[in-house]
Amino acid sequence: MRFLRNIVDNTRKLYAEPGSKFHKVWPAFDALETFLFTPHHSTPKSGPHVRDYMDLKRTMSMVIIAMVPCLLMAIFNTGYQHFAALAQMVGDGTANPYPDQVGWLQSLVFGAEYAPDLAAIGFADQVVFGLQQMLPILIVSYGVGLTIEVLFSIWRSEEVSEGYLVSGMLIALVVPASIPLWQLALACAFTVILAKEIFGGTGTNIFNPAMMARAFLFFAYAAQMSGDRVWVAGNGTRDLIDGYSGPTALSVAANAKLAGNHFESEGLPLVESSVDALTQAGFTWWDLFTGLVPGSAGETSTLAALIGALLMIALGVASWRTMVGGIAGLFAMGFVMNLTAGSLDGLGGLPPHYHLVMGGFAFGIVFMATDPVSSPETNAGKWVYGILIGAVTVLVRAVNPAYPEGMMLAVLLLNAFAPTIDHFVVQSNIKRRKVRLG
Amino acid sequence: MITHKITKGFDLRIKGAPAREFADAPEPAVVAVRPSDFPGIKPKLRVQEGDTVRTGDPLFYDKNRPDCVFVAPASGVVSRVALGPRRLLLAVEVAVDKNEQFASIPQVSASSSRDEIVAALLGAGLWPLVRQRPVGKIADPAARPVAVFINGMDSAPLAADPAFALEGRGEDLQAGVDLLRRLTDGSVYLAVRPGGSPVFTGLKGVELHAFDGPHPAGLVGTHIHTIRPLKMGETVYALRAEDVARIGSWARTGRYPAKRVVAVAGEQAMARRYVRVRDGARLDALLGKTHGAEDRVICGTVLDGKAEPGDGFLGFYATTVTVIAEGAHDRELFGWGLPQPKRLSMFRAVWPFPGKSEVSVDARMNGGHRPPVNIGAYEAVTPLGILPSFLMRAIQANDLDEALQLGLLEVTEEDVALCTVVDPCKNDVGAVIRKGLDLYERES
Repeated sequence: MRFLRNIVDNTRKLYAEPGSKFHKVWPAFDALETFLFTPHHSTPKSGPHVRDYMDLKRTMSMVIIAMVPCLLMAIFNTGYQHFAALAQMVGDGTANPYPDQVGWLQSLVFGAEYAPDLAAIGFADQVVFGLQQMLPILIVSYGVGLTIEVLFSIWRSEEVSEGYLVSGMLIALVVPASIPLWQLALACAFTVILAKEIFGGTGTNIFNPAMMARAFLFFAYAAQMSGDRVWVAGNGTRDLIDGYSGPTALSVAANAKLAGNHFESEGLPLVESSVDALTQAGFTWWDLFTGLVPGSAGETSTLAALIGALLMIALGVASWRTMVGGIAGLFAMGFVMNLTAGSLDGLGGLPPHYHLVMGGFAFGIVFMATDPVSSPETNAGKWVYGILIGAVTVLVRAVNPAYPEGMMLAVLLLNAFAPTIDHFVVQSNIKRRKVRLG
Repeated sequence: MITHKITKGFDLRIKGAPAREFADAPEPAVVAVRPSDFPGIKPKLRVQEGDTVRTGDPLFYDKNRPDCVFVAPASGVVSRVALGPRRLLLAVEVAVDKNEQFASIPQVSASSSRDEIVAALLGAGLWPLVRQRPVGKIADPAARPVAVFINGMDSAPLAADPAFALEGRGEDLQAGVDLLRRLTDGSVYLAVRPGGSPVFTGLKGVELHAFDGPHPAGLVGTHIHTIRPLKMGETVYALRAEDVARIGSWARTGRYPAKRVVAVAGEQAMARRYVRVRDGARLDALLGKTHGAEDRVICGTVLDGKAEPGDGFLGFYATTVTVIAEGAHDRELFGWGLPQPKRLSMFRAVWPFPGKSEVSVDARMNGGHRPPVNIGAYEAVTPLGILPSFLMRAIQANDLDEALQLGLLEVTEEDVALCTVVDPCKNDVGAVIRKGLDLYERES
């Protein structure tokens, strides 16, 4: 440690003082320095002389720790889905792509002649495939985003803010594992520049940067972000296992169409309800809760999101009001939709507790909606905001014919209304003061 | 006695509380009075270097309010008039003569009129002890306060306990209260800790209120908000119980009360106890040694004090002197990420199992300055029903109307000191609030 400290102290001379050799790029050095050692600034000579040990680095790193269960699940599930889909296809007569198409990490770990036994896939096979997909996504997401952030910090001559450490991980977890990396890089650049830095950077952005990245991908490259073919990753062309169709639970339920008194889902026998449609497609509530289903890499597991939520609430870095409000709104709107389900397609008739475990709702309400910058700041506002996110999510899912995932749009819509919600809470605070003081 | 329970707030558990014992500091060789202790005044000198002054003789006065004088806390010769840039008066130092003589000040009693009492307090140099809300500066003698608030408790970390410091001063307190009652047509409120020391419960003519709970339960801002919130345009006078006793002692003896009790606290202080010391004394006389740059000597508590050099002087309002480490050279490897069981923090993210044990502190920021990211820290430590982050934003946008509606006049920097302490983004909330109050004073 003494050794490291000496290096840091000696390097400081190169950039810390105005006029020193690398002073123009001091924010980049400072970011590395304060990553290693706590900063050395002293409190001002008047006003409070002591400060809490909490800083923004710790706040953000706690959120990242809370996302680790989701990341682990993403790695495992990506491999699990890949081999499960492959086993089914080979069983149906498609040629086994192994050992002709072996991924980079697979050939590193298992050798170029890797030919897994599809009937007995092991944990190692799944994890290696998952890592092979997720590591490049994480590297691109962090690499592109942080580089631009540091450049902006240098331009502004400000310390590098830690906000993107969370956004980078969020982006990696809300895209399908099959996403082409160049598209991901574009999305990260788009969101850092246009959703964050032009608004002033961390603390001043209106929309959640990670949701903006996802929205960008969804509208710019819909073919790689929606449909039934992108949710299971493969080797070779990377984006999909050719010819495989693996719909998400949301699209199965959305396609469970009303037919007389029955629902029928495309390619499936007549069913009694959208829950039946899910069951017949192989999705039980429990599967959806644990997350061993196709979907965006880190979003599938409600269980992992729940662990993250409990961790963040215990550590005091995220608002439980937003989360509880979101779930309450989801259930309320779910019941309302149930009452009017006769005239609606499958998702409207779904029992509310299914909405909780399907799609990106759980992940979104825990990690996206609670973003302290883009959500309301008042406690009352957080309740309203959470409830509306839950309600709008179900509304979009049930009513929107084109796109069954309501979470992304709900969060972005309510981000836009967060200042309005706060405005009304602030006005009521002012009114209360007037009444009290007469 | 009515007991109020404050729930929002945060007690900073810091090592170095003063022992409950008294000691006498040696007579200082030099005392100083500094205009910077009195925010908002424009000092104008009354003396020159070489003049002989008695205890209680005016040294300078406020140009805006010429009858408000600031007096010598000791007899002797004016040894130095320190001037700064643009001839700004920094300090008047008096070389102390062992033979103490007192200025003769017109006497008043509880039967005197309000104007007589105010004029006497102004002339005696005791008026600066009376501060007012809103704005939190020296009180306007012409104001008709709707109440007088006396603070008989201090919930700030390591702060002197007025109930202990005032043991045996019941008569002085009563004499002070009797004078103060003449200043207002409203009530005189006295806020104390639950239980209430006999020195306070025996007082006549005050309405006793007990405040329970974490800091800021002991701040006058909290007391006013809870007991008698101010309407627009209303003013109250606010004093600390120690200062009421000083006024009472002056009323009884006719002499300027130049001695007071200061608690010496903080882990780096040599002897932590309550010390009787002369106003404006050099700090090394009080602390027993001259602290170097590795320590921070604070006149006041760690929340609201002013840092002084080791050979600096005791501030006019300080009832506590806290000495903590600067810690400027301590830097922890991965301090932002590793669990920290022995650090000052309100957050479980720093250490998940907060206990009651006291921690060491130093004067570091513990993090880089960042744009505000509100994780609910301000609201958790603010019991005044205000929304600190919105109030800050209104002030920063120079929107005085909005700031006033959001309760600007209910606070001063001491009321939001905790917000500054717990903010993960290391913003100075108090500085913004003062900017807003300055804006209010300019525009009104």
